[in-house]
Amino acid sequence: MSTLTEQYSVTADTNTQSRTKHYGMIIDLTKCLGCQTCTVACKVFHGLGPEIVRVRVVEQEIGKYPDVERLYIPLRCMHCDEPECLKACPTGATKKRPDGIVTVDKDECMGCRYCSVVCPYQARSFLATPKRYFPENGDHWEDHRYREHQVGTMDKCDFCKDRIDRGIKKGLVPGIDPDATPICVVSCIGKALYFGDLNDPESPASKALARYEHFRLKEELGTKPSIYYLPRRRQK
Amino acid sequence: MIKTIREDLIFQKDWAGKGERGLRDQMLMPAIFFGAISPGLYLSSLFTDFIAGLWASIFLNIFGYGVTHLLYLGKMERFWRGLFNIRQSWISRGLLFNILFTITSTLYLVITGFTAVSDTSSIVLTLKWASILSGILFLAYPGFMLSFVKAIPFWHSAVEPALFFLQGLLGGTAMELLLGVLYGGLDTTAWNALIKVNYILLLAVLIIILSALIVKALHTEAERASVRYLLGMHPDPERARDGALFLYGALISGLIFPLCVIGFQIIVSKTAPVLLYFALTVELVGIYFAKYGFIRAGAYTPVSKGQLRP
Repeated sequence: MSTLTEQYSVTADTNTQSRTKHYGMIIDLTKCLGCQTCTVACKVFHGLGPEIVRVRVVEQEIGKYPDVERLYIPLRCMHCDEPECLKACPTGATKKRPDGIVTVDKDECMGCRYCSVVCPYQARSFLATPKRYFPENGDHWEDHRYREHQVGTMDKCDFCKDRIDRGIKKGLVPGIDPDATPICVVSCIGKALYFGDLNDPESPASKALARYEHFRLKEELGTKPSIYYLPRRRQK
Repeated sequence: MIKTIREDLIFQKDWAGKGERGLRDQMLMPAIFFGAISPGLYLSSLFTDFIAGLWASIFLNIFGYGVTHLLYLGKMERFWRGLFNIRQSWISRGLLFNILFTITSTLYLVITGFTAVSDTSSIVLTLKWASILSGILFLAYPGFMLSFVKAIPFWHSAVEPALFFLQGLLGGTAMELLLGVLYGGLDTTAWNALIKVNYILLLAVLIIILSALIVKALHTEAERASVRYLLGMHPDPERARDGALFLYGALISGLIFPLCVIGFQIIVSKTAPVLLYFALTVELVGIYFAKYGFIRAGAYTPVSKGQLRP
């Protein structure tokens, strides 16, 4: 199986460590099949119970007969530059890392759910009970991942920050090397997701942005999301 | 689950929803209700010097608001962390206003009720004005908390703070009138003044709600969905029931019916007392349903279709 490095024919920029990083994701709506593999991969990898959805794919029918099409729009935490959840969080449990990733510190969250209410993308879930899909048949991986979640706190996509951090320590490049890339990007069967440092012009995400017309969801709210979409019909 | 991950136009489910934790997830609505009634009753009772009302407001604040709110939290033992973001978060500010209100109002009552300190002494006057100020802020904060939410256009307007503030005062006056009947101690002058204030507040709240519904129905798709929700037009029977509660419980029984009864009382002064007390009671129930409806009807702005296919 070829690595993403081979697919994109991009060499890792060794000087990126000194530059401010801003991780982001590009979602190509032309390639998204609506298969929900990203949803399931995320659930399996992070051991998420039935109450938590970090990634979801909404369906929309647009146009009028006979010019109708069905679109699949993957939604998740947009890791906004101006996150509403950060302003709303009363405890300071919601944090924004210097690389742009928005996280929730589960040891500080008090479970008021204001962050979930204010999020324009409905990207947060509340873990109300320790429910599991298969409580009797859980394997070692599931047991390990379930222990990381705290009942009574909020949960959201964190761009698989542990994978990214571990990968960087090994000298890998997020978005290029699968072991340092969010699991949804690695698992996407349509190759509709690109990830990388938006400040690095050589990253797959920056290359996709430079190549295609793009937009961000609900930009009018001023949240400045770090997730860009490539529309269904490309202009150039 | 499948429906949830595929839906686009959705209503908020985090607050006042059924939830997985049973009764604990239902605790937010009593907290919001008593969080409005308690400072409203305090301010109203202070205005008429009604001691029973002042003590009742403290009781409602601690048990009606405080305990229920704690039960609602996912990690109630961490509630103190809620004070960490006062600069930006309305929840933090609300917690601060509540703590200040609880301390100043309790101290004011204890000092004026159980010590020989004069009512005109500087400490009593300071506590009195501090409790009034914190009470007003505590009364208004849930409205600001909702209007801060840009993602839900139905809430994101200047109407919410005004509405929540007036509803609190309305509930406070209604509660004081009922307590006056139950415990006595409310003289005729105070009673007549409160009835008139209550009537004006009823009228103001009704006008605000109706004008808000009309204006919002003409705005965005999400706001129209919220208005339709409140009018009981949601296809899901459970959510349509919320609309019926708002329409019949909050608007007709909670505002229009008391408006007629109290208006009749003010003009003719011959209303049967039982009917008047009933009107005041349904007024309180109506405030609960109005707040419940407004919170449940919050619909998120859907993804813009124009963006998806330029």
